[in-house]
Amino acid sequence: MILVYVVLALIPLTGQRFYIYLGSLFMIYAIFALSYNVLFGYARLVSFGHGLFFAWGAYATALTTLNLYRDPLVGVLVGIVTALIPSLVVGFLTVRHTRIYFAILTLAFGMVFYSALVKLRWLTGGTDGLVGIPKRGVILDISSPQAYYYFILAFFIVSTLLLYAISRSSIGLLIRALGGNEERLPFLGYSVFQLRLVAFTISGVGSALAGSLYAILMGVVTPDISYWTFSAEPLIMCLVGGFEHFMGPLVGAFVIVVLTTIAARFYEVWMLVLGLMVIGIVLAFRGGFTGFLETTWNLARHMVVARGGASKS
Amino acid sequence: MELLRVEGVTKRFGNLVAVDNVSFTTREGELVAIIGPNGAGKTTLVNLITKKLEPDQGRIFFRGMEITRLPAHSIARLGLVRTFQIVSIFPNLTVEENLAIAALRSNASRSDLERVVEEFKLKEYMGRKAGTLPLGVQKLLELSMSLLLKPKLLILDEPAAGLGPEDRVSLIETLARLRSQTNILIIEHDMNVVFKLADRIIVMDKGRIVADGSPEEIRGNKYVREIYLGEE
Repeated sequence: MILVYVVLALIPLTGQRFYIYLGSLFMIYAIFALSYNVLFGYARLVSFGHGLFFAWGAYATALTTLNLYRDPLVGVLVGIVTALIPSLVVGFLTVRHTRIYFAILTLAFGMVFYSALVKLRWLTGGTDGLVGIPKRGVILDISSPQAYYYFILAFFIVSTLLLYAISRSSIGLLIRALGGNEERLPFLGYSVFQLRLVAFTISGVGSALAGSLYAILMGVVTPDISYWTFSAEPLIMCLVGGFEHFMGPLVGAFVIVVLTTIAARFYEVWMLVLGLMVIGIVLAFRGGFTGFLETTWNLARHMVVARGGASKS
Repeated sequence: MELLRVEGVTKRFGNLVAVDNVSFTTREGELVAIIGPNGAGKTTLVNLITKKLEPDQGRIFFRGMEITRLPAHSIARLGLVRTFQIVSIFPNLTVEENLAIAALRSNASRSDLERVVEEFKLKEYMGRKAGTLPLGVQKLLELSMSLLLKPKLLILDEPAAGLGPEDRVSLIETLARLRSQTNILIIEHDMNVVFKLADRIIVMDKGRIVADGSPEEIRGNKYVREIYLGEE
């Protein structure tokens, strides 16, 4: 993890705007995917509606900086804090239901939110979205690429450390227990509803942070980030990177960002590559990239050990 | 002192009356076993008491408090803890993490944890994923977790199911030792387990209680011999 931070911290030194932009995008997607994975990988609940929280963060930041207080830092903080509202409300209404019903309900909430963003033109700008989200504010001026990059990096470091701490904590353990055998938890005195709501809220607020940073980076927000196809992005990143490992979604975000960039000019081909990759992973390597690395590593180690044992005898 | 009181509890599945107007009371300190042929409604009864299922009729009291409408997790927090016939643990987590989940709930101390690990010889498995362990060890893990919750009443649903003869013997020894730590109610099919351990045996058949008494009385009960022992 520290290695990731160091490499990310060095990127702006290249002075290449393109790499700086890609690095920023990667960090934002990584936060999104890591947050999503609390629900998906730990609790094993599939949501098709997390675009809602991403969009909430983005729009809350945009509206705050454009109308209330012109500052990116304040905008992002408002995005995170207010995201508690939709996380708790949508969570409260959806987590009682499992599997397919949960997935469909989250999808429906996402679609409702998308429609609201499109219809409430006076507030959200409709399909045109909101433009001119400032990087230069009252408190903070992050208008240079280096500045906004380090701004995002700071949030990336804090949020990933926080998510890591959560994964190691008692709460993280209980959320992973949900994924393993949630029917057992009530008989150990735990409320499945409460635990799911906690997992949902953590993932919702984290997704909103990613959305807030996205708004700052792009300077523009449009409703498509709450469309359900966008909600599938973190899901695919978790699958590709491997949802069993803490780092998996981060690896997935990296792979997807790099591949989309390379293949951006060949859109149809890109969907083909991504589709085949997901099929391959789900059919052959459930663990994703990190799982694949771990299996290979264990295999290599066993072979070395076996060879060592053989030479002794 | 009264521990568990079940009053006229009934559960239907469509036309089948799985548990039919069952009433009984257990007292602190007595080890009660519920026996009966397959399909007698034993496990359903446990599911009703611990709220895995909702009873259609009847009331249930635990240590004087009505628990009929409480959710499962509240019942567990009152100290009414159960195990499952088909072992139920967290297969994706290590043995240590499984135990931690139970210890967390009851604020069990480090030494409580170590004692249980010692008692059930789990030390060598601590870092292993629980799902990869042999069934016998998984059962011991589930039992350990239940004990870490510091239960006031521990309901064991067919603890011997799926165990080999050797494991059965050690299970009986273990349960005999546990008596001093907590109250136990056993649902069991294996007569050897029951007759060695129980102070009192309740016999169920077709959803009803058909006999209730000491192991000697049950052994001598003609009706019980017919429906249950006769089949062996």
